[in-house]
Parts: sequence; C-alpha cells; structure tokens
Amino acid sequence: MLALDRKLWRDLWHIKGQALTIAIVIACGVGTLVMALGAL
Amino acid sequence: MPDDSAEAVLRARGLTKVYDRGEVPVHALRGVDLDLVAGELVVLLGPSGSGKSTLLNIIGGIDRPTAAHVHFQGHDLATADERALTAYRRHHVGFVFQFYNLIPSLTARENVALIADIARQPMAPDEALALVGLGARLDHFPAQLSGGEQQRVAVARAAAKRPELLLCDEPTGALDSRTGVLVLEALARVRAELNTAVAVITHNVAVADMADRVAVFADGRIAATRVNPRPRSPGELSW
Repeated sequence: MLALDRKLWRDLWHIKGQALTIAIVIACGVGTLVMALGAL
Repeated sequence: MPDDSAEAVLRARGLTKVYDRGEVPVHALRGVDLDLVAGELVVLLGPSGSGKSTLLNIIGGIDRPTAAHVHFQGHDLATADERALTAYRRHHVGFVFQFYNLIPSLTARENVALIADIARQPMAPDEALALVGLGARLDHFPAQLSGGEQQRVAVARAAAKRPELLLCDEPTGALDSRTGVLVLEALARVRAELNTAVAVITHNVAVADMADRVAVFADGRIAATRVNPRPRSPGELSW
C-alpha cells in the first residue's frame, strides 16, 4: 500500500466517530426522503 | 556568484523578483547571479528580508522570477510551465524547511516512503533514514521524535529521491546548537553520499564555517562572496 493511502486510512480511523456520525446522518436523510416519496 | 571552475548543476543569471501587489513595488531580488555545483555546499547568509528565501523558492521551482535566466540541464526554469516546474521539483530538488512538515499520522519510514513512492530511482526509506543516523527510529511517529530527529527525517525524506539539488531554508533555525550540529552532519553525509549540490539558508554565522562557498545577502543582492579554504566539519561548529 502506498504511504499516501496508508495516511488516508489512518486519518479516517482517527476520526472514525465523526465519520460514522456523518454516515448515519446521511443515511437518515436518504431514508426520510425515500419514505416521503413513497408516501406520495 | 558565478563559479567558472566547475560545471554548474544550476546557473542563475540576473535573478530579479518584484512583488507588485501593494501601492509600492517590493524588490526582493535585484539581479542575483548564482551557480550551484555538484557536491558543493553553499551557505546563503543574511538578515531576514534580504531575499534569501525568495532566491531559494525560485531556484527550487516553487516561485517564478520577474526576470532571469535559471538554467538546469538545458532548461530555463524562468520560462517553464507549471507541469515542467512540478516535474523539476519532483525529480531533481529536495527541500528541507525550518519546520519539518512531517505528516503526523505516518511513521518516520512512511514519511520517507511518501517521496520514495513517486520518485524515479529512490533510495529505500530504511537506507535514507540510516544515512541520517535514524536507523533505529524507523517506526516512530513524529510526536515520538525530538525536534532534531524530526528534522533529520525531513533530511532523509529530501534525500530519498537522490536529488541533484538539496535546498535548505533555515534547517537549524528551530534547534539548539548540539541538535543543530546533528542535522548539519546529516546534510554533510547526504552531500558526500549523493554528490548533491547543497544550498543552506541561514542567519547563523557559525554555519557558514562548514560551507565551501558563502554568499552574503543584503537588500536583495549578493553583497559579498567568499570561498572557504578549509571548510570545518559540522562537529567542530557551535553557536
């Protein structure tokens, strides 16, 4: 693995809490949109 | 500061740089001539604001001159486009700055590997770190290293691509005398091993004693040059 890729994964691991939170928020947003469209 | 006695790796003539953004144009460089020769250590000495860093940025391909001819291997850097300057920096120039600029989430070995990954004929990261005396600290992160050790990692990183030019801007500026000497010894070893032309910017007069040539800057010009008949080894220096 290139050193730059290693940096990317290691930095992502260091902010794993924030990354997970962002992913959950996006998932909730997408879920809400899908449910709203489905209810029309 | 032309040197006709040997073939220059880099030849700069009439280097002029004017910053013209404010109300008054600032003349950072006023017609500087400089040759860098393989295997030679040149110290650029002078007070802050005398144009040393501007000169280093131009010969390193980071900045462009207002007017000049800067010849490197048959190319004029003054007229080169961005792509050519990027290739020049990537393949031919090693930089060492006052503040080490290491990536905190990578170990010493990985910081050096970052450059080895994109260089043409790189040194192995372990070999580069051994060259600066850090063979035993390969897997330490920057936060686990002292300032002098971090600067030596920066020297190893610059040396890993086997550059023709090694440009150092105040490499010992943030270090005490004893630690600074270790960094200078690392630079001397890189120069001896790779036959690299080394230019060191400093306002520390003691560092000039290890140079083959010294250029004294004042007000954007080289005010004086001298050749050291007997350059001292870094171990003999203190400040």
